[in-house]
Amino acid sequence: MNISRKEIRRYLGMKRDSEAMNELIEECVALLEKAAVPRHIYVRLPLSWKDGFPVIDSEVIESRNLAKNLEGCSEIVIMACTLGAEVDRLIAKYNVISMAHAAVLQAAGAAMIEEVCDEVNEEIRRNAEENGFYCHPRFSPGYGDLKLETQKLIFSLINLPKEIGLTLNESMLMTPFKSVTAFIGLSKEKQDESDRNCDACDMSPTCEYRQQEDI
Amino acid sequence: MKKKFLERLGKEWLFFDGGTGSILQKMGLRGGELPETWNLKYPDRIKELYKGYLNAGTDVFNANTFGANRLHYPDNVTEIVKAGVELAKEARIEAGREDAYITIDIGPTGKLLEPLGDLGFEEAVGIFSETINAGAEAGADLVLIETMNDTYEAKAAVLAAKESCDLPVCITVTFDQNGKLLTGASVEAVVAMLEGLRVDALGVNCSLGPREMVPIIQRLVSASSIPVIVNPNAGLPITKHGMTYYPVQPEEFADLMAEIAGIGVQCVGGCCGTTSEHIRLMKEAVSRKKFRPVQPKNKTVVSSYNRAVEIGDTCAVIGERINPTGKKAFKQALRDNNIEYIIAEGLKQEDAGAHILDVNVGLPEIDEPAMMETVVKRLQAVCGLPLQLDSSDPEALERAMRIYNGKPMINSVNGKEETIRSIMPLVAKYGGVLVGLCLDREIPSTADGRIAVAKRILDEAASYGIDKKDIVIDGLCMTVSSDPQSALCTLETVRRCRDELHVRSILGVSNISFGLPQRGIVNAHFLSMAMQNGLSAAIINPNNAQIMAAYRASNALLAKDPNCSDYISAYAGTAEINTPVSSKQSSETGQVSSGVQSLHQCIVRGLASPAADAAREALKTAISPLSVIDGEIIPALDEVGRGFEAGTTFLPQLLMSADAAKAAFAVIKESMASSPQTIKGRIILATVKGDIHDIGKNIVKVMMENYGYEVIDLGKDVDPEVIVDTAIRENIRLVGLSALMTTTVVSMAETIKLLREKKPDTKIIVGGAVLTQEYADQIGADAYGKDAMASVRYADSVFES
Repeated sequence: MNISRKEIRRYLGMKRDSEAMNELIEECVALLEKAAVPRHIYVRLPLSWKDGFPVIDSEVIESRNLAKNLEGCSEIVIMACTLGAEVDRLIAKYNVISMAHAAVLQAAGAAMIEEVCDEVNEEIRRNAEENGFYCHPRFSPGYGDLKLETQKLIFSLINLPKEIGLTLNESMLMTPFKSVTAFIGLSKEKQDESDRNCDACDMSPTCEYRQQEDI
Repeated sequence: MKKKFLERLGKEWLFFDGGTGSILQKMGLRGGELPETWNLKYPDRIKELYKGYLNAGTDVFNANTFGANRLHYPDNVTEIVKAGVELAKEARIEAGREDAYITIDIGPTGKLLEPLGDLGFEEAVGIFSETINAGAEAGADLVLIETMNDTYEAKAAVLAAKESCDLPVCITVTFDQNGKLLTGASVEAVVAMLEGLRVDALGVNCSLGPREMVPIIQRLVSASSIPVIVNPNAGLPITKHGMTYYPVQPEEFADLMAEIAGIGVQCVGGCCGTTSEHIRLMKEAVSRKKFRPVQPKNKTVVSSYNRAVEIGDTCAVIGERINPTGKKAFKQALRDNNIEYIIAEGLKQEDAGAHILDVNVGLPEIDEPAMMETVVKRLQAVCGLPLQLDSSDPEALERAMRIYNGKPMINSVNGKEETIRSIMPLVAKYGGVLVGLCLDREIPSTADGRIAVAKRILDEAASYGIDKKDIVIDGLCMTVSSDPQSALCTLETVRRCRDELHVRSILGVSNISFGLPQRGIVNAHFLSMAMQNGLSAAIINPNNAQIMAAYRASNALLAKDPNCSDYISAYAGTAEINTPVSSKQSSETGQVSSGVQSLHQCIVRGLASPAADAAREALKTAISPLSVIDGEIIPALDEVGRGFEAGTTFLPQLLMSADAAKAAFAVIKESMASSPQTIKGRIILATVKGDIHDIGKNIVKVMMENYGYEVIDLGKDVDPEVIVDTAIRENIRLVGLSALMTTTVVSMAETIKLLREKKPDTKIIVGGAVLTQEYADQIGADAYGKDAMASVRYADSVFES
């Protein structure tokens, strides 16, 4: 797996490459690759609509941003990915012995789970295109106005604790930490590729992490 | 008369039932619908499910209670469970199969246990107990815990079963194709823990088909001394047209299970995708195979959440450093409740090559049982080494054994009746490998005397149902400077443990050199001698290069290190180890310091262990420890901090410097241990209720500490009341709150409101990914900490005013 060093630096707020930091970043990536056990699962379900909102398994999801993202879709893929519990332990360990490592591991973990999601997304895209569907950009609970409570629906549709060891706590946060759930809409029409997830996000005007071309 | 389950288990083939969910789905169960609701809604369909398996010849069948717990059924769990068992009893009569056994079927909660998740261990025990109580009252014959993918949750379920009823307890867990549970445990680690907990049979179910399970079953059979159950799926699931199905048909399943039976398992059944037809044909095929009872393995094994460590022919290293004896800084850490210091001692030893960690936190003036429990919880959250729980207080031992995630070592009992009576029952309940000290009212001065005590300990253990493999004998290391015969006596005891008693041995090696100069020399040589006499485990300081050199060299010389590979990987390319240099520090650590850089440089470059060395050097020439802090550490930190603020230095560099400064501070603190230290002020830091992201808070903490503040770290997911109460009790002037999520900023606002009400003179600074200055103003904070440096600057402004 190729974890993007550029992404790691972006999460660390590093505006440019720094020779001094490369050794630490590489050390942390190696630790992470040893600890991570990436797992994923996805299911494909029919999607219907009610009053302009998407409906999955007879539950209406009242999110304008998701509705816009899924415009024109008749099916939906729900995906979930995790790096596993050992990564949480690794980060907790370095919180005790070295905060510098902990911060870089945190950033590298975020970059790694994105990479895992991209790979799974690519597989979903290929499968979809084989039978004439196009994928919309993936969209996760917590983006824009899509409530974190949507996790409950996802967890009721897939037995995530059993399948990939992913659990949900009372505050709708997932453990293990480095995990992602997302919706990917499938439509018969090809989408305009320039759509960016940032545009859907309330935080985008002030976001330091906003996707930029050059870091 | 009907034979009892335990009279048949392990003596003949026993057949378990097959899948439930897949069959109920065929009967009309919708996706997302809870299967146990059918116990009340469609009792006839549930009986039909049971009877299908009873007619196929199953000996053991599951009441439909897999997910029946209070998390899924907050209002009527008891009713649901009882109905499931009652229907099973009716089905048994209607099918004319009153010889069959009904299980209370227990599945996982779907929650991750603390500390990784948010379900408390005792809460989990309570949830399982409720279900098991209901099932036992309704008349089930045994408890089957299944599909467990976490050792900790499995332990909670087993304890619940043992404490709620007298029924037999069987358990099957779910491994992936790599032979690991989802939370990381190996096959051998699972077996060690479950055998320790005295379950009646253990095994594997779900996730994989029979073919994929073979390598796992081989490992199970070669590790387990109790009967093994195998309940696979009908192959790996395939999804076609949105439908999931399992490809292995009944005939093929039967053939594969017959092969598996030949590996040496005692109970077989099926899981997802298997039907009564699978079970019927499997029974036919397996019954033709010769039944083999399980063989005892006689291996001495301890385990952690992820690994098993054998105390066998190769000596295991048990790290001795988590122990306050003779350590000022450690004692102070215990008094200050500085758990991080203790955890860091453990992690250092892990990196230095320890296999097991001894944990002793006994100090007269602290609450040892509470401290023991806290340290074990914190340690097992971050460290994969099995632990040796070391205390003379049975309450401390029990609390730690209960919440320990695995099979621990217990240090110790001796020949005295009272230690045996108080500790052996705990080992019989929770499992563990018990250290038996060869002493009685007094310490026998001959090996004969010590062996006699060892024998008595083994006999007593047997009477408590503790096998010899779960005892290691400590032949007692007495200081050689006061008795020239003492080392010889110890070595002979070790040898006779191996040759006459056939029991594993352990020694606290470092005692041998007490009172002598250059203790490392004596310890290292004595360890080599003890290893040659068959020592199975050595309690030593793995951070000491000299003793680890003796350990590795002895292993190579005693043919315990094939191709000398461990030795070579430890020492190839390293410089000769010089005879220990004269400075006290170096002889203690056995390390040879390289060229010393200036302390200032070390901190700016973020080099932690050179910074510690440089601090030691600086102390030698400095007027006072304070002048090292003010003259070198603070200016270096400021340089890095200014770089960070200017955007020329990045967060990881800032933190590396902070870690280096922390290492230097530790050295200086030790030199001032007796004199009072000045602090700039005391600050509470917490991640607010509902939020479990703590990295930002931890970053601020390390910076604050370096800048001279004492931080009261309340952790993550902290109740507003706890923060307010602490602020009032400790009279705190500044509170720092962290939140990462938009959703948890709400509880940040609540905390601020409550603080304003109850302690209006306290200042509040907030930080976290979603916060902005505007947001901070809106929720009524005094300041917004955009990063760690900004937070330090604000603290300075509060405390300097």
